[in-house]
Amino acid sequence: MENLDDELRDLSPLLRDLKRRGDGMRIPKGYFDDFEAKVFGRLEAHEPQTFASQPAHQPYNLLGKMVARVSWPVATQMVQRVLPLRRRAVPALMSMAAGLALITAAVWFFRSPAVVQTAPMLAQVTMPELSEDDIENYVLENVQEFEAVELASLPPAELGDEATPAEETVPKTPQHRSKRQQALDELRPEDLENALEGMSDEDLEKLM
Amino acid sequence: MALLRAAPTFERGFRQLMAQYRERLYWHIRRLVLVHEDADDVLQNTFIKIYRGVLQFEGKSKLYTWLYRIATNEALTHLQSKARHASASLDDAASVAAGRLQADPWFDGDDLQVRLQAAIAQLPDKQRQVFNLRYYEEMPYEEMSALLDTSVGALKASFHHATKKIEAAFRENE
Repeated sequence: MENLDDELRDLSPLLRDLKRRGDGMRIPKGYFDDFEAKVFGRLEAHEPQTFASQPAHQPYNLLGKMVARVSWPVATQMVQRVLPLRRRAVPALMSMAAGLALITAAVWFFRSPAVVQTAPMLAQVTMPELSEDDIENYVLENVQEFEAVELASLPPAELGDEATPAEETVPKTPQHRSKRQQALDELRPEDLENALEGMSDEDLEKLM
Repeated sequence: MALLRAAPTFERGFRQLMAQYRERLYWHIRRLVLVHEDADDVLQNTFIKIYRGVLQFEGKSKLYTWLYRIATNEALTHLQSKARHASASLDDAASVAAGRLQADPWFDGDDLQVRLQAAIAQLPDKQRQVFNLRYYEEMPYEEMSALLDTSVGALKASFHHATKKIEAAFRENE
């Protein structure tokens, strides 16, 4: 271990001399005797709860935590959980405000003129006013998500082969024959044979 | 530390810790901030920080190393705050330090000692810490190495540079 005096002898004789004179700094008499009280006074003034309930440090392990929880005085735990009333009221007030805002928005929406005027118009358009052809044309022109194979795999009831209440009420006339029926009628036996020749047994089973 | 780990003995443990380290930390802080009143404020803040954080001290370093770092941070923050308020640059550090020291009722040094403190105040933070630890506390380099997390060689070089800078500052003012 190198001695400072020896080190300074070579390095800086000036600093070696100054070191012997001291630094001229003093402290008030009894300063350290009062110091402890000053620190605890500040701690009590600024954070009395923390001061009263400084928890013990436990190395992390489940058993240790459980033991500490059980052995720690209940009163101290309660002191730790005490929140100022102002802070405790803030979440409740915010929840109430949010609830009121939601109710007001809902009332405003359902009572707004646009909604009130649109609702009867929507209710006026009813199914009986649409003919079967209108519906079919709409579906043929606008609904294209279904592949022919998918349609073929649907049970007949879903394809409308069985009479639906609408079909029962509407008399079947040549004008009301569906385009699919017309296409089937126009199919020639040769075309059917050609189509069947190109199909595998599995495809035929799917069609069945 | 054992007393600090149990709630019923925590306060007693903390009082013991204060009694053990307050004087050593005071002088470390005083030599950075120079004035007793400032050193008193910083030391109180340091122990309040220690009180709040001592349970998080994991024992990976020596306790004094941890305390020393808190005290150093508090002292440097205090000095930066003072410098901001006074709009003083680092170049003014020497004159500011000299002025404050001469106004401190708890300083009765002569002109040479004022000039020495003014020269030390001009050193960069880390170099000033190394100089103070070696020159005033006479801390061995090995211990300082653990405290500052710096190699012994680098600390010796730092102390060497610091002494040369201080001597140069003295020569300039002659």
